[in-house]
Amino acid sequence: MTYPGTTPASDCLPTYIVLDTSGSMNPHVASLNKTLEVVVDSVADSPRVAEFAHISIISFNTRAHLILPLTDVQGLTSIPEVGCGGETNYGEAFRMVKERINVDVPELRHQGRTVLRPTVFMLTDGGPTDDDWQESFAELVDDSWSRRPHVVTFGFGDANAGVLSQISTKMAFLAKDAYAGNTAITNFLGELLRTLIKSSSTGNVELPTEVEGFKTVSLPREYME
Amino acid sequence: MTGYPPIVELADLGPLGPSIVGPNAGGESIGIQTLDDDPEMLAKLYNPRRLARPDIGALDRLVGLPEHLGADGVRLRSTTSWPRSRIVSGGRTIGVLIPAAPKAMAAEVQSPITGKGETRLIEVDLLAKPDEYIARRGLPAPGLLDRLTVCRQLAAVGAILSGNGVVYADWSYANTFWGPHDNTVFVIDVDSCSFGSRGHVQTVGFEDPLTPIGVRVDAATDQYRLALLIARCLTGMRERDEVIDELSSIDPWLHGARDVLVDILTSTDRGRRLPLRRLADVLDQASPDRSSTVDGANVTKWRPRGGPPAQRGHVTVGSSSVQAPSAVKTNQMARTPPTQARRSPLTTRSWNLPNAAAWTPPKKGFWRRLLDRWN
Repeated sequence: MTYPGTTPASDCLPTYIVLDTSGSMNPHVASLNKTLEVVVDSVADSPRVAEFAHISIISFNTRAHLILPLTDVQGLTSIPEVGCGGETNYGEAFRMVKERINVDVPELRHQGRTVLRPTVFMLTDGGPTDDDWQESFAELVDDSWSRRPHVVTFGFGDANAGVLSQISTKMAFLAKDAYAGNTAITNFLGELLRTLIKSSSTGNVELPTEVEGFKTVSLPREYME
Repeated sequence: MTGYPPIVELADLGPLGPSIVGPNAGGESIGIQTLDDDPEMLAKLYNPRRLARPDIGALDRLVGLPEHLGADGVRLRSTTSWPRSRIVSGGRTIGVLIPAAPKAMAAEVQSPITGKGETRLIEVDLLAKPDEYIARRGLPAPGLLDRLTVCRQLAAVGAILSGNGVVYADWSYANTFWGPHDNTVFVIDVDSCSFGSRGHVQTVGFEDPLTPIGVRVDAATDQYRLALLIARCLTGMRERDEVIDELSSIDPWLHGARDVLVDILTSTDRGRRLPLRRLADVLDQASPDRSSTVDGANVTKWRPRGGPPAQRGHVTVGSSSVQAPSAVKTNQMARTPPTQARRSPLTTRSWNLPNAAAWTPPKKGFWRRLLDRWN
């Protein structure tokens, strides 16, 4: 039944956690799975955060894999574990993110939600091994595509600051200690969790300006046409 | 806990522990730190970039308010993080001293996914979910009485604030902790309350349709937001219209509370929303022991009558008279049962409707429809 005093539809933040699961991540796979579990568990524990931020997990190596379709994690009964192996093909990941956004945003609207600009949190420990990642990224963040997401990146290991700055639209962070991979993973996912909790309180995407154990990578300046 | 002066030097608080919020927490503070010498207290230090000039006058009034309120002041201090002292350093106000939520409120919550448990404070957010949802987290499933206990405390705090001209503005899922084992509550972030209206405070999921973004928030906004929070905690539902639907089927002994909640949530005139004191009173009066009553006046039922009330301004029930429905608009009455909310036992009394002289008898069949509605 509808009552007087219309209340606005509730906002939803589609959140894409994009994880590099290439072979070089193998030493960190246990840490990655453990921290991922903590993040999903924590969000599931907070109805207000879970309702606000629906989460999708995409892993990528030689190919991209949809590990968890965008969902309100309150309904989850298990958390997927990832394994690591293969190349670091960024382009595959960007294409899958775009494909999923085109599926997820209409679905959320169909559910009566107002949809905030999707936000991608990407973690990688190396540079891209494919040749067309720049084109794929350009298509993902193309200004003419109304559903283009914000992209925030976190790098460690062999990740390259120059590349991170090219595949980020908002913020990019590079681990201060490149080889403290487990710490970087924990800090990355911890910061992601804090971002979601804070954003769910304010209704805006509250991205971090600093992250423990990471230094901020400068992004290219944007100029008016 | 009470041994702090209204204004305290930062240095006198002794060493501070680590911040309980991260560097990106934002808001008006740069950190909230425990006192090493008194872990039950927190020093909330303002972010000079976000709050360069705190309202010292308002803060001092807030700090001193409980002293003048007797039992209400005790309640504020026991169920809220009421500010104890203004913290100064170098002649400047740099923060506020507030109590931490009681550790006894923390409870172990089990992950429904992994089954792992973690002991922590629990936001009232969780109470605004169905019993089975809460039970899946290893917590005792709160029944209606548990929910009522929490709602009474929330309404009491709201009534005290509004009764003293204090606007909280930030009623939400995140700003109250719930102790699931004893149904205690602890409201936080009260140190930024204002006396009178203040700039708009956006609260996700608690947007008052009559206080749109940009409009100053005031007592009417608090009425709506708190009523919505209470209705959600009472029903375990989230969406406003679903909450109201759920309230329509709530136990009869809670109809008094239901009517006040629905009035506040659906009123199209923010100035005519029923006051939070009224809500607190009907919640206090609600009891399953009075399961045969429909409101606080011990009215057992409303019988259809062939004509208007026996005497203008009176409705007869048994050998006594009680207050008749206070509204005269029949379309509103159809949804609004009698609004008598006093604790006094059933006695003959006059109907004190100010505009009683203008009252006209309802149309034939009205009382039957009303009765059917309540049954």
